[in-house]
Amino acid sequence: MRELDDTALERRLREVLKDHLGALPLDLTVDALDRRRGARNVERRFGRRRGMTLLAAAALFLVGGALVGSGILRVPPVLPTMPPPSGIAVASPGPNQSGAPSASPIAVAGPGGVWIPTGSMLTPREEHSVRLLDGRVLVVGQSAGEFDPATAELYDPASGTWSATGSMLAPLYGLPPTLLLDGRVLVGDEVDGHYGQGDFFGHELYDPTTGTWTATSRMVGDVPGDTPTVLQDGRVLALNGGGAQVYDPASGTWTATGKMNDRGYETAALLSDGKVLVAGGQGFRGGIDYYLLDSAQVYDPVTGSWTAIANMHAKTRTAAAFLQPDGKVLVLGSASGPSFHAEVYDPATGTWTELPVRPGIRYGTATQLSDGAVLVFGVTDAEPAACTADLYDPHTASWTATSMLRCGGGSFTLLLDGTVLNAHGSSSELYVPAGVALPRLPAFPSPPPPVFPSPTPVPTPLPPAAGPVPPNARSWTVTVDNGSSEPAALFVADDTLRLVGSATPNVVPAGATMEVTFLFPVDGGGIYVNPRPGDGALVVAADIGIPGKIVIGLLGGDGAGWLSP
Amino acid sequence: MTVQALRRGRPEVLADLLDRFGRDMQAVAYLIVRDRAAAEDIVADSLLAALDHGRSLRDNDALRPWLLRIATNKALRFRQRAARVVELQVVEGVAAEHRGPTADDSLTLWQAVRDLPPRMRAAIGLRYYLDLPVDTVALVLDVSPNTVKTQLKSALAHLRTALADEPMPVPEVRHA
Repeated sequence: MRELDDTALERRLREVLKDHLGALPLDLTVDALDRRRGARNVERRFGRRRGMTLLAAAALFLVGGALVGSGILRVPPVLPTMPPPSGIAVASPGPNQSGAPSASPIAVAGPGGVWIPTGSMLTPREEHSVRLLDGRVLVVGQSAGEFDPATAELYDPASGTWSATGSMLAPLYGLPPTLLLDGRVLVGDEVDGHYGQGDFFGHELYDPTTGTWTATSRMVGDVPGDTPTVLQDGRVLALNGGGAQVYDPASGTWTATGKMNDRGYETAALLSDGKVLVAGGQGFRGGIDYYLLDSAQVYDPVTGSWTAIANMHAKTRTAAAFLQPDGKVLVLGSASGPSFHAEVYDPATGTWTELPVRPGIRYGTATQLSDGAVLVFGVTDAEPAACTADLYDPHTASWTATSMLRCGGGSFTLLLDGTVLNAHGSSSELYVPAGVALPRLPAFPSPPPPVFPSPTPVPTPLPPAAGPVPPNARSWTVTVDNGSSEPAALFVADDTLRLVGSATPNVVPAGATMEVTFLFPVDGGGIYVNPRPGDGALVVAADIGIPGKIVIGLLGGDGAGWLSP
Repeated sequence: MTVQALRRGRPEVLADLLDRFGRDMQAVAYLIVRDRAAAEDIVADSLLAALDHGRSLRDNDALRPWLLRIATNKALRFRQRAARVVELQVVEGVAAEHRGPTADDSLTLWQAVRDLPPRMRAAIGLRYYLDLPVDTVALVLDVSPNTVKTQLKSALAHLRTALADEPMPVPEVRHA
């Protein structure tokens, strides 16, 4: 057959794939799906899983959202001495209120910080948290798999405990919880319409003094909105696709801004001069053509207009942007790869600087500490993946890999005392950065150690036992030459690996050559060997009475191994 | 509306997803796992997983790649678990001068596709059967577009070799 060029080969390939895959029958029915779902719900009810699974993590790749932390550094109270595990240091006490030296030492976190357990949530939740003006943390919505996404809880840092608060009027959707300057919280919701007839996107306000929610006006065009930024005058800028709107808490109304010159932005940061930077993002053209953005714009709240600025160095699916103490903005996300990518924007010069980052890392999430440092969680690109945590120092513009053992699942909220609350599943923990005083809390049980990503279980070899021998089974004798370094267990099974016949003997030792007799069902079956002996290492040859020579291929794993003569 | 119902975890959306995307998901899963029953299982598990995690889906346009990604991940993990069990396939009546199990080049090409590594098979299916752009294939496979291009190029080279008319060494045959 003549050699095909790429175009001809691709055309041929499309035809072949269409012939074989297009004709594939799909016997799966909705009833079968419903039965399977029912069985899973029973399993869930009696054996819940907590925390983020690998699949949940993978499925969240399209979730945008920035974790913007702005902390208020406060002098920590003097704490009594606590029995320290590793990671705890004892700092010299500061003066008391009269200025006289205090005799009580302060326990602070040592280098690298320390994780301490705190109270468990009432319901598993993974995201959508905001710190209120009084220091409590509001968390809205629930973990994947639950069907009641309008409930909310409050975390009290003073006691380390969680309590229920009022539920939203409709399930949370779109705009994440956003703290307004007056202390209320603005959130997007989705009013439940009839299936197939569309739903409505709205917004609600949470009042921490009463613990209740009230509806406020919807965005123009009934769009959901995302990536909120609280402006210096108290209004809120929210993006939506290729546009943006501003919410005025005083009037409770939304107004569209000037036109943006690109769509798909997912990250925003308030600059020191009151303007808002948006940069990077992703989207689909025509619903199928995926793209990343490297463009950036600045919004001027005074004029209500957008101005394009210099592009980032790389097209990036941006996830977080943090204003630094020097007025620059650290922007984090995933570049094509996906690989962890970080750039710094300098508003004074209008330029971007690409930051070197640890290679082989995929971005997960990030949180800003009270001194402006940014803690970034990710996973390695290797198999099996390992969790990573890197701390960015804005003063030196450098990264330090830390030894913290959390994989970054759940929501992160900077508390008034400089600690960071991590709520994931039904567990919650506090990260205490280096030098920050340990909060005085009751002793809570430690959550189970994180497993992320879930390791792929190594299956045990199938037992080399015979299956039921059907009537009129066909006997077939073959010579098996096992050139591998492991014994080869042979068996006969159907397509679902159910044993249906037998192989006698069913184990060929390493380096041995033996005759094996297989009993097959009349309608066929497959010969399987476990474990995989390596390409070409297992030679099986036989004549089953059909004219011509027989070639038996060894299939599976990462390629075919044909027999060697 | 499908995405909205999915975000709500409405089970009635399963029928819609199965109808609109089931065959595409099955095709990619089947290419990877090479077993029809397993591929159907994977489609079922993937749709249920989509129902569980639908709230994370924000972009309506991302629904199809998102579902394909779930199915691809599940299929690849299935292959990882099954890699310890290897199938030996009896191929009948082959003349010695022909490479591969059949003399027909369509079947040869199909067999050659099946013999590619799992991730390469996934890239082939997404690109040449589902006609996804390279960037979207990269999104589904969670790799860079350059990696996808390299995989496709390598796959085509393998397939071209498989189709080449070269004699195969005669294997040993034992007569009973």
